[in-house]
Amino acid sequence: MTAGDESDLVRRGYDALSYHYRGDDAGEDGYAPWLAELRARLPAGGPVLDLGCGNGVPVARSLAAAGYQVTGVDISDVQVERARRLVPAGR
Amino acid sequence: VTGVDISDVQVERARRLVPAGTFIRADATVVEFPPRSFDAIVCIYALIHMPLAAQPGLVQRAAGWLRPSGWLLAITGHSAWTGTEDNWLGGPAPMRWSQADAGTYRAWLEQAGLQVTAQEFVPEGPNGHELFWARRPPS
Repeated sequence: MTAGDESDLVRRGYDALSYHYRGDDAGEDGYAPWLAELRARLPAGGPVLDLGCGNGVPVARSLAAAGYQVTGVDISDVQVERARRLVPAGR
Repeated sequence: VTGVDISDVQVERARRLVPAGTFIRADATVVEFPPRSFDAIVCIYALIHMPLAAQPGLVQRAAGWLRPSGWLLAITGHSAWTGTEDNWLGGPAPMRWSQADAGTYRAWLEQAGLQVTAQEFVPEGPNGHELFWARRPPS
């Protein structure tokens, strides 16, 4: 399997499994302490990059709500479409 | 929207009150950003889905996208494993992982010039992942 084949498998996988992986209204759950610690370490309102942002929940949603300028990157079209919808100021 | 205001306070409030998320559909192993663009980079349960050979290069580039004193929060593999699961989450599509062990990820972070300030095991069922906090040194 080439690297391109591997990436295509992951992209198609998350296109198909996006909703299996995480609901629109999922909580922070196990991510909560990590997000709290990150917020405590960062200057207010600064730029944050989320590599593999998925549907934007909970990381981008939480950081955008806290005022950070969030940029999310994801290989799945379905995941990115959901992230744009679920993080209201997203575009 | 580009907002311009002479007051630092107004601009800080505008940034806080109008959180602008930007979402890019891209392969993280080839995406590029300007140097020193971010206060933090989060990469949670994502590196482990990327081709293993591309992962150290991404860590290296991401370190360059951090401003001095910026933070990388990453969840990586704990044990080396590469494979595909056909019915992950009971869904209709296969999923793929390729991950190194925690010591290898720590070495890649350090080779990228980052200071690892914390490392811990995150259990998940009988296995688990590794969490790293790594900081770009102050300039």
